[in-house]
Amino acid sequence: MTRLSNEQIMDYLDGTLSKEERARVESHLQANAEDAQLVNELRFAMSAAKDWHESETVRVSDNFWPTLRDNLGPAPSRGVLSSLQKSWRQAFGTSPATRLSLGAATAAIVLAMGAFLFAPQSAQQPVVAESLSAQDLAFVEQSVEQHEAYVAASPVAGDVSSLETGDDEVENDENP
Amino acid sequence: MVSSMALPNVWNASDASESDIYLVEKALDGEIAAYEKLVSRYQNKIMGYVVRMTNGDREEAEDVVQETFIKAYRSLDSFRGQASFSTWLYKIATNLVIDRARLKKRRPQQAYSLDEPFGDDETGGREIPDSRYEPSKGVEREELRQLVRQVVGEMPTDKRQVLVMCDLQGMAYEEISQVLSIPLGTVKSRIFHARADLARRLRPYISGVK
Repeated sequence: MTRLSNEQIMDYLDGTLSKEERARVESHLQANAEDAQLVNELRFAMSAAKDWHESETVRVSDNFWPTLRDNLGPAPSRGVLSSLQKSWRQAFGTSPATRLSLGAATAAIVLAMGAFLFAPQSAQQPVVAESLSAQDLAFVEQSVEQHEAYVAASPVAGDVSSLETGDDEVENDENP
Repeated sequence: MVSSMALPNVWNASDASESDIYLVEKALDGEIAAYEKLVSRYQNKIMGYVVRMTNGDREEAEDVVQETFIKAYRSLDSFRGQASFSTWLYKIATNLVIDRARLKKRRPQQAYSLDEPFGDDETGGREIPDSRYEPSKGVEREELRQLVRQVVGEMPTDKRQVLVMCDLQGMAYEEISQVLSIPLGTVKSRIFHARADLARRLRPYISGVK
């Protein structure tokens, strides 16, 4: 028959097993005398140790503090980190709720800064040029050059931003 | 009414003023009374641990406890509050006990394997040559206590530490793990084998306790 593991026995003695697991172990102990004896011996040892400890009250002597105070020496000095911590606590308090709120606010600011600084390049720069083939890019550049040449030759107000309005608009202007 | 509402402890100023970290801060500001409160809070707990680690030598134990609190005071600035103050004290006390044991160069202790399974092998146990503890005669409670004291005193340091902290001081496995800087699994393993050693030595007397 399979023996209980040391960990199972520890958990059983500590009372940390689930109800189902505990029932399983107890059922096993009824069938396995060796494990049952081991568990009983361990339980006895724990109980005996506790009984011994509780029977001997251990306390420091009455002059413990006076002696200690005389030997402590000068008051401990604060380091830089400790001083900063103290300033922080004085500024924002020591309440866990306050610290939690400040921590959440700090985390939100850090996340926002991180999102801005480490956002993908595509979010900040146009990606048209990257997605065009070399042939398309050459066509676009040629078109821009032609448009700039046209604008330089016959500037028309409001016509600068459009590549499609070039010849048609001139023609339209010319036609009554 | 808001004023009549019960506030949780985290908002309670009087509780906060008694917290360890608050007293540490006050002590760092030069208030010796704050440190006295901390000492008063933990002196007997640390004493209870150290006296078991020094085989019941109360004079030596008190020296170690004194030294523990002196060291803690002088390095109070390095206490970050990540672990509890008592865990920090136990850590200092443990190191001092080990240092003293090394200095004394006591007789070498029997080495135990932590992985050794507990079985019926009697060779690991050290029988007590004392006829009073024969099962047929029964064992008085006080005699059993003396036997436990003897067995615990003879344990190797690593097992005794965990047994004292866990079964005598009632510390949680996690806290012991922090004090000794060892994994939780190692803590549990050592405790199991320490209990098993003790149980093996007490085995003849289990049915004889009155």
